[in-house]
Amino acid sequence: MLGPFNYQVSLPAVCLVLLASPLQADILLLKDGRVIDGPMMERGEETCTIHFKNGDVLVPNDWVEDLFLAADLEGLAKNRRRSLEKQGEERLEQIEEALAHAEWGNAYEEETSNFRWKYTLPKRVAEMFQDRLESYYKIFAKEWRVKRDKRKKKMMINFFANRKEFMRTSGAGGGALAYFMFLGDYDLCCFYDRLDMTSTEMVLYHEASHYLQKLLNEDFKMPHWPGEGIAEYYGGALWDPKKKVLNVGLVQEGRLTEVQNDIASGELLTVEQIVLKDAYTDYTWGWALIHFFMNDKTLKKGFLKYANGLANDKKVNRQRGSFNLQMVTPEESLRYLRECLKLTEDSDMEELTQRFHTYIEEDLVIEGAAGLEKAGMGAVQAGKRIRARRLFSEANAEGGLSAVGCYQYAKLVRSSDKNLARDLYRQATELAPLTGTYWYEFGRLHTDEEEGKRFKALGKELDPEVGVYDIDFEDSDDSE
Amino acid sequence: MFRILLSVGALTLTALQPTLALTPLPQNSSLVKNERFGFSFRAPKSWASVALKTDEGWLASKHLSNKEYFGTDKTTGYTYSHVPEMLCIAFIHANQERKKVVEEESEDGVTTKTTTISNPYKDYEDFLDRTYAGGGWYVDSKDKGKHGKIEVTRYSVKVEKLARSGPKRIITWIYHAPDIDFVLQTEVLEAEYKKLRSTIEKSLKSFKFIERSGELLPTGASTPGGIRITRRELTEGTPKERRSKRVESQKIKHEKAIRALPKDWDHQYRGKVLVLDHDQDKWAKKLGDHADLLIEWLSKEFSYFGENEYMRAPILRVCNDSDEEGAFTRGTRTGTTGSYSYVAPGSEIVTHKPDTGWIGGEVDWVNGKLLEQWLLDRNEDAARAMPEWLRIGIVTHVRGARRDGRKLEFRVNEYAREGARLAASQGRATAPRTIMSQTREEFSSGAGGGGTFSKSAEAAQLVRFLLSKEGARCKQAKTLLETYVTTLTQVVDEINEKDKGVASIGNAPKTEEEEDALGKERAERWRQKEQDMVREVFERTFADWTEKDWSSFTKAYFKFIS
Repeated sequence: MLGPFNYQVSLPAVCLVLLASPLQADILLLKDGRVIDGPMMERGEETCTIHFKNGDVLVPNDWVEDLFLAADLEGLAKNRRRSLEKQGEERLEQIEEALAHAEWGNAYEEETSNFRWKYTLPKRVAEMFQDRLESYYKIFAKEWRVKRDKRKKKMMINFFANRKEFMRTSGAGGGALAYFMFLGDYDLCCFYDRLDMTSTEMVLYHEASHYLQKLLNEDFKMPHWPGEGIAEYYGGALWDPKKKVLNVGLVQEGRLTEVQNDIASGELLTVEQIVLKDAYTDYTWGWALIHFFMNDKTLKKGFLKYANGLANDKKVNRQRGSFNLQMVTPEESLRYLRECLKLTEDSDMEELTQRFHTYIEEDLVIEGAAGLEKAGMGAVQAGKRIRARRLFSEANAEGGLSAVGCYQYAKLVRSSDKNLARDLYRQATELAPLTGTYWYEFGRLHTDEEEGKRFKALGKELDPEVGVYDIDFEDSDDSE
Repeated sequence: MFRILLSVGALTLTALQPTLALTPLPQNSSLVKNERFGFSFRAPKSWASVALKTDEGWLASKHLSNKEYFGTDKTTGYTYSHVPEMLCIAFIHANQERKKVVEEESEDGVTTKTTTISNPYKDYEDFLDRTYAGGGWYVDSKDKGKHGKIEVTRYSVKVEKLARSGPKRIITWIYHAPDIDFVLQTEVLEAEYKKLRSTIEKSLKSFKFIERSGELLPTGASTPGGIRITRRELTEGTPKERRSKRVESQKIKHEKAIRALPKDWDHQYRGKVLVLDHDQDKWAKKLGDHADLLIEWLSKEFSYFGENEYMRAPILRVCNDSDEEGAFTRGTRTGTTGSYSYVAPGSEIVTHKPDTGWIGGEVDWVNGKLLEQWLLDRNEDAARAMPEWLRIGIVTHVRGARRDGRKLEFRVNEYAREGARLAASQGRATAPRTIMSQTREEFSSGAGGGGTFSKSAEAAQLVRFLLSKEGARCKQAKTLLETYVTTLTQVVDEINEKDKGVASIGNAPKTEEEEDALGKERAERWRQKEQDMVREVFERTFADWTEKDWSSFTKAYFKFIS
């Protein structure tokens, strides 16, 4: 139980009680599907204020789908009151319906043109992803000339409402963010990260790309390279809500940062090494190489022929491997790549590598606040704290960090620059005012002890799981 | 300097929670009765009772069906098998609060701060989240009701995605007592659920609260007996101090293991080895005697390795069969699947009587674990620093050990013998001089191909040669292993001593360029460190060898492997 403040999927019982007596308490419905009831609320010009026990939280009106205040009913004429109550009842019925589908055993099941969907996230959020994935399918299908076999079942997209549910029900282990099951009727499992919609979208596209690659030849298993590189390339896609188009092949700043870190550490991979090496670098260097091929007019056609031909060309030597699927060895893959790109001499390969390295250096550029932030995240992962600080700082100057970015940046600087860290945590609370961790961390660094305690308590009120391992690591932080 | 050791989760928790001892039951009865906790139920007839882990704090009993069920995975076409299993779990409310214990210890100006946080299971679903490893699961239905006068919550859980051993159904009833929630959980294959439903329900409906007697319910977050020994204490101090701590640790572990045994399990000491067994007295004796002799052999043959260090006497737990062994680890935090399991020195080695008998791979595996415990207790640093050829060679040799009367016989690993022989006959075998001077990276170069297999085979045969009669007859090979290992130990000690001073020196990078350079240097340093170590051991070991020595040695070795 999460206390007086509930996420939609958490507390069906409370909302059902409300249904019996609508609008006796304030209720806030957010566009991302969350429902908050319990505390008193107020409507404002730009924000809605929620009066929690330990402090007020301001939620931007842009986030609000609907807000019902019990006070609105006071002093209203009977017919106007009845009309408002009716609206409230309708909303609560919708909540009830959503709650009924919040458990995986009773998840929504739907079909769109090319996919089947099973999901526990709010319907309107799921619909947004459904539209985008259908657009994505069309773009990929056109470029790669694939179409699904209509005699077969459409692939199932299992979309979980949060990471916890994904880890529990999908069976994925470790740090998996999603997976595509390439056998049987195919199955894709992913989850909705409320705090990072962009990543949710990109992860979905990445996995869907594996399915679409499968459509090249369903009896074939694409090798790790180019398979993961293609998935990363098409994973770098974002929906432009204004133009209503999907932009594909964007720079994956996090991946690019990893490549740059490798280069800085003296690891400079050649085209040959990328093709032959079956490793994690297929997500980083592999992505960069495919980005290069797809953006070079002299190479794109040859590369598409290669990737398609690996699965279908009769001249490619394929062997049966695991699950009786056709596969190619890295050596055969390299031979065929050279054939498709007409790289007959070893010097041609060397020249291609040179062009590729120049492309990484000159054409793959980290841009925009979001890009810089992702690059910062990549630098943190690689242990490059100084670079990460610079990137986060630039991102902040360029247009602002996301709440997650603020949080990461604050963690980096909290032992050396508490004032900056405090500001960043505060910034995070403004960007994601309903996330308990940010309030809690802000409280920990607050200069006023009593205020600090209050913010920590507010963090816990929003999320009781926050601060359970309340250990001060400050003294042991040797990062500076 | 502060060193913070943070241990979170059930691994810590299991050590903090008291064991639920079961009262002895009449033979051949399916009645499970626990008077201390005040419950009883009837497990399905002929389902066997399974032992619980010694440190287990939540499971009250486990039962395994006598029948195995099979199915075929529609997606892969593979056949799987599954044995239905019943668990009884007790959630004592007072033990379900998170607790944090902070301890500080100062010694020679160094303060060690140990923070232990218990993170008990919040409820049944949290328990499943953290222990279930059979595939992705979800609650298919959940309702509340009454069983007689007892409040119950009934769960039906489905295991579908990435399900190991096929799609499954978990039927669970939670019986709510004022201070404890008792959980009775049964897992069966989904395809067999209808068939087994009445059997399961009979057990679920047989659950009763009974009058509590005996000890009070355990509460609080202290280890039984209130003794806590950290790993730091076991590996630091003088050999005498270490010995004393290890003897103490061994005593506690052995006593706990014996105390927690179910009624139909026995324990016995075979030499120093404590053997616990479930109706496998003969096999347990044989394996225990063998383990004791193997430890004795290691201590004699490699007496120069970690001399004066005390090795904690192993505990061998011999389950009836592989299903029982699997069930033993399930339902606990450490019960995840995986091809490799690390068994820390002094911890239980869990095995079973295998269908493959005395010659099969199960005894090989036990030998490997005994060797691992022995090496780590004798000299952990040197054990971890062993170059690949030596590690593979010793492991392969020891895995083949079998007790025969009062002697140990060492079976030849046929794959190694044939692999090395083939490599030699085809002229592609690596010279021993090269193998012994290689780092791990050099040894494994060309990973995945036939080359690595061949080299592992050659490494195995090289160590076998050094330990063989043929090796003993070769002047150069006679004491080579002892010289090499002793030198390795010395070099590792020297490096550790040198590193002690270096560890705190070094400026933090100030610029991105310095940071990049540091990252590059660190990666290079690890590579270089190993290379230096291997080269240094090699140089010192073979300092007096002439080309003629190498030639004689190489000739004798190739003759041996051919």
